Amino acid sequence: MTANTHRLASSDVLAGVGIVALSLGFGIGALSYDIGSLARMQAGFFPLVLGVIGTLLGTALITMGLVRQGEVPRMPALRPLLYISAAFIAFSLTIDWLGLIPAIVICGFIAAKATPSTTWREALMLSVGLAVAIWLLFVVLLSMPIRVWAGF
Amino acid sequence: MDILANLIGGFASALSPENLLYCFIGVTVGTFVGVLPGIGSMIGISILLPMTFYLSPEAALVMLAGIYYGGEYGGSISSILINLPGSASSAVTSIEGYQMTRQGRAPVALFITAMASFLGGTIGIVLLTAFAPILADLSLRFGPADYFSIMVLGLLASTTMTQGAVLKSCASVILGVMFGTIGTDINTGVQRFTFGTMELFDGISIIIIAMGVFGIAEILATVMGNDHMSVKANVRLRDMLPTRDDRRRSAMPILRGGLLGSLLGALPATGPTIASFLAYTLEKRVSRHPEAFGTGIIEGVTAPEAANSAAAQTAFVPTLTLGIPGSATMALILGALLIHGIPAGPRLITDHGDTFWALVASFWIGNVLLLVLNIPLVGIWIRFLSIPYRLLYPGIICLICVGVYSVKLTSLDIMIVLGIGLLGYGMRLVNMSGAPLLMGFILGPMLEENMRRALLMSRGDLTTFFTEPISATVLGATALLMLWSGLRALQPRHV
Repeated sequence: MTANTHRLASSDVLAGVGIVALSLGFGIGALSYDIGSLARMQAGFFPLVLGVIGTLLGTALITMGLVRQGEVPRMPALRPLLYISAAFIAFSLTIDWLGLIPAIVICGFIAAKATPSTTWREALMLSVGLAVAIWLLFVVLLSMPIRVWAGF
Repeated sequence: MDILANLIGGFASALSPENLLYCFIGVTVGTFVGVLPGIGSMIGISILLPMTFYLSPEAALVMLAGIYYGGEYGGSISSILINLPGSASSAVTSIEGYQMTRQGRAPVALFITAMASFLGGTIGIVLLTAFAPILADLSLRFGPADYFSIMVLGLLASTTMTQGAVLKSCASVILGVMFGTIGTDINTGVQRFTFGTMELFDGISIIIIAMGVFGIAEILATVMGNDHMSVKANVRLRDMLPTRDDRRRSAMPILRGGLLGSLLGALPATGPTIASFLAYTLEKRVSRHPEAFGTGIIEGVTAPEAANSAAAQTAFVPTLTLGIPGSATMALILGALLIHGIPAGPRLITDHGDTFWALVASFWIGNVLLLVLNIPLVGIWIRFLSIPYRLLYPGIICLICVGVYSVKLTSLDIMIVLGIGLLGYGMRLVNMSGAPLLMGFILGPMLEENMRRALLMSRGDLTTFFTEPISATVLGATALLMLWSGLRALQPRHV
């Protein structure tokens, strides 16, 4: 029994399912463009070929994973995954609205808290330090056209 | 002596204060990211790439290249001192290097690896200088069918050399090529997979792919791991000089390693990592006392380090002369060239000769700078090793955010880089390598372009790939390579 559940969740099968899903979506998307002929390829030809190859490769992976005892995928570490994703989302939401320095402080702080052993104080000091350093590097030194504070 | 005259011109340009400064920054950042485990030259290059928009193309290339070969120097420091390779290509150095540290010979090991890297790098540069123009001449004769076949070889070869199953690596390439088609189709002007968003009309930037697949995925995979590293070795300059016996025993391994590394660096897909492993195996094979390997033997440190440095230099040959990168890092360098409007390929040396020779000259200068950074200043890098990772990665995340944002100033790109990063992390969890994806991404558009052109010229006749002599030879070699790796995969695997 356990052997079966293992096989369904083996890394080969999981990778294969993911690849088939992406390739099918991609291949079907390619059909909405002109395909053309071998001599005169249009925009859809190459993506369609990719979708077909990807689907075949993914199917082969699934088959292989079901036939032989494969390795089990490693488990993701949830806390860093959530915190670090949140850090990126926070930067993306605040950069246009609040400007560079607040966005870096927020992003750096959330990212630093992804490791539980980092204290609130450490995270705060680190993120403020980063904001200053990045401001110096990108805005002062490289004169990047970016808003530093909201409204400025 | 055409080459000599060109080289002198190159030196004049590379020694200008601006280029010298960026060469120095490049090799310093390279050593820094090389020393730190969990941060490789890939991350270093992709973080600094957006900053090069504000530099001249020459200075940008000199700096980015410096990060790459500087990383080969730095990686060995952590291998030797804490048995944790700073970069994959230095993994094999830790076998003998860490044993030397345990015997109290860390200073000697550090000195001799820096010397070996320098000499290996020098061998690589000499060969690069001699062969790059010849290869460029040769490649002027290549037609679209030939280019298509060479790219197929490069992509498939990269799948056989990466860790994990060949099928997964092939799928990784395909994913990369798919991402490469996003944006405006150059032949027909059709918007492909842009979902009507303006931000995607120019496609996804190579910076986003590299930072996602390597930067974010790497951080997610490392963040809960190694936290505190303590260096016990006490390194003083006067302890670093190797004995006469050390020097005598290192000479031949450095030469062999340098030559082997130069060859493997120039071939598709066999970069510094494979070069260092093979150099170690070779030394063990030719040694009169192979049983002594594993006990801190100096040949086992010098040969791989000479090999990976040499390979890091010759890796530029196919990238610059054919426009076809042999590894993911080189794909990123090629991306940098394209961003700066320098078309890599056979015309690079003739049309942008000054840039090419300035870059080659900067390799020489960079290696001398690295020697200084790694011998008298080694203490600084050792101190960096004790910075815990938990205080480093938030900075990298912020740099990724700002770097990605600075490309087009759209916050959507931040979401895309996160999505690519999560995909890259998921791939890691199921043991799928991200390097082929990046290769596929950068080569994909060229692959499509050359395929279209070849088939247009042959009026849709697919046999053109087998009747053009160069193309046929390359495809034959590809078939042999795939057959070999397929047979190898069928052999019983050890878990």
